[in-house]
Amino acid sequence: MAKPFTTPSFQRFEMFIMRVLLALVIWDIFPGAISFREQPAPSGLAHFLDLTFLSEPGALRLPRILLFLALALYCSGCLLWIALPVILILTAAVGSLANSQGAITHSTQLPVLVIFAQCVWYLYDALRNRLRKSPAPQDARLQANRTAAFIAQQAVVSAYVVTALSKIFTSGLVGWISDARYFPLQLVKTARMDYYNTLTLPDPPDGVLAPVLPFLQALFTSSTALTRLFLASGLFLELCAFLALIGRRWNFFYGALLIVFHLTVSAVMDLHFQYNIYLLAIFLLNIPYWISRPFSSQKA
Amino acid sequence: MPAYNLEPNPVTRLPSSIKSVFGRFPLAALLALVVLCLALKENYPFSHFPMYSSFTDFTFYVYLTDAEGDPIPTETITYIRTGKIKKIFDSELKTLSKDLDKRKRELTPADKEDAGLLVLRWYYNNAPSASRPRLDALGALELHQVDIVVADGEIVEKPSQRIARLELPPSPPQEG
Repeated sequence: MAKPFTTPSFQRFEMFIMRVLLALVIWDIFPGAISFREQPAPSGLAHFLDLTFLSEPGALRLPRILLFLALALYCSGCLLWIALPVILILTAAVGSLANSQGAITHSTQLPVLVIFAQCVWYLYDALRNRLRKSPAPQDARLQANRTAAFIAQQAVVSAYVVTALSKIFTSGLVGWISDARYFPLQLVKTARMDYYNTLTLPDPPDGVLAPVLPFLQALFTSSTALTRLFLASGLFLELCAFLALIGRRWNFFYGALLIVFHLTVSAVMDLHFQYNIYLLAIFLLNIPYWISRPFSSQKA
Repeated sequence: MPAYNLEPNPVTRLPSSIKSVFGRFPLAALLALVVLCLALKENYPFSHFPMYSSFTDFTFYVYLTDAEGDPIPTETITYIRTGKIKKIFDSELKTLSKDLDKRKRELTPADKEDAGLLVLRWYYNNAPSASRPRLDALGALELHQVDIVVADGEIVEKPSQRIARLELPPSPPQEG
């Protein structure tokens, strides 16, 4: 059995599928057009550049072509030290402009954070190979790709640890759990704002959580003790997310737990983190590995 | 027999030292990203993900109306959700409450009028061009706020307050 918290022996096909799926996510988050003509509260690259030119008609046509080419290169696994910086700059530019409006949204940070982490790794790897003055052996390239996939897993997990630490630093562990009794106010606020988006009442809940949703909402509004217990378990799930990196089985089960957590938040609070769910599925659930496992000589 | 220099090259020593860091601390990337996200806060793609990091017995929501005070479906018209409008208004109120040395819940509608106008202008200016005629036809945009508080253990929604009104289409800036 592999040592805990070490780079898993990802197979080439696993890493290829991870790259293709992440490329699809990145393509999906990149908009066809942006309507923001101001950046009143600069974030990220907007601190250094006026990015509002990206809202001009047709301004994203060339960046989309460049992104497509870079993503194709990324999927192929070749010249990643060129492909990843291009992907990073383009996604960070549009994400920075969207988040420079004085209202931060947290839907697309995680995929771009994974790109950032892999970008740093492959730039370091390219520098290392250049200093070596000879082509990297095949084994070394495979190991570098495995490390990149492990770094992507760490980037995904880092978001959950950071979320938990932010809560603890802001309110204190005990304080946050104690104040969780006010959580039902947020449910009312979210429901009202959702109504004013379209002036239509929400559709009846659907999906896997539909049967338990009325029970959960009644629980939150009727019992402060149970609300605290429920929210505290979510906080500890986030704080201990690094446990997902112990090994293959932990990847799968902790990834599945975090997906259930997101689906619950989505159903109860109408807060949808679809890209987080995609990344958890790509890098932690890693279904292709579990499908291939019975046919592989290499086990977890 | 040739003499070999067994001292490692200082340049090639760098990568091996980084490699050994990753070897000894396999979660170095996790640690580095956690520190970066907490230190850089909201600087895309970094974030300290502060949502719901504190709960209080007070919150509020906002909605927009037309000139007659009838609510409009903000997202249907412009693709901009009320959540975004509320966040922008909220960040303005944070600045205002510091400047006036008042808690957010103590700010009066008059205190908040300029912040409300700023939000309405942002909404109009950043709406897709195709949405402008529909917005102009409304005659005016109003921002309304509803406070949600806990009173006697019950969640109570206070009466709606009109914060600001922007006549549409906005008059062009005055010359000179």
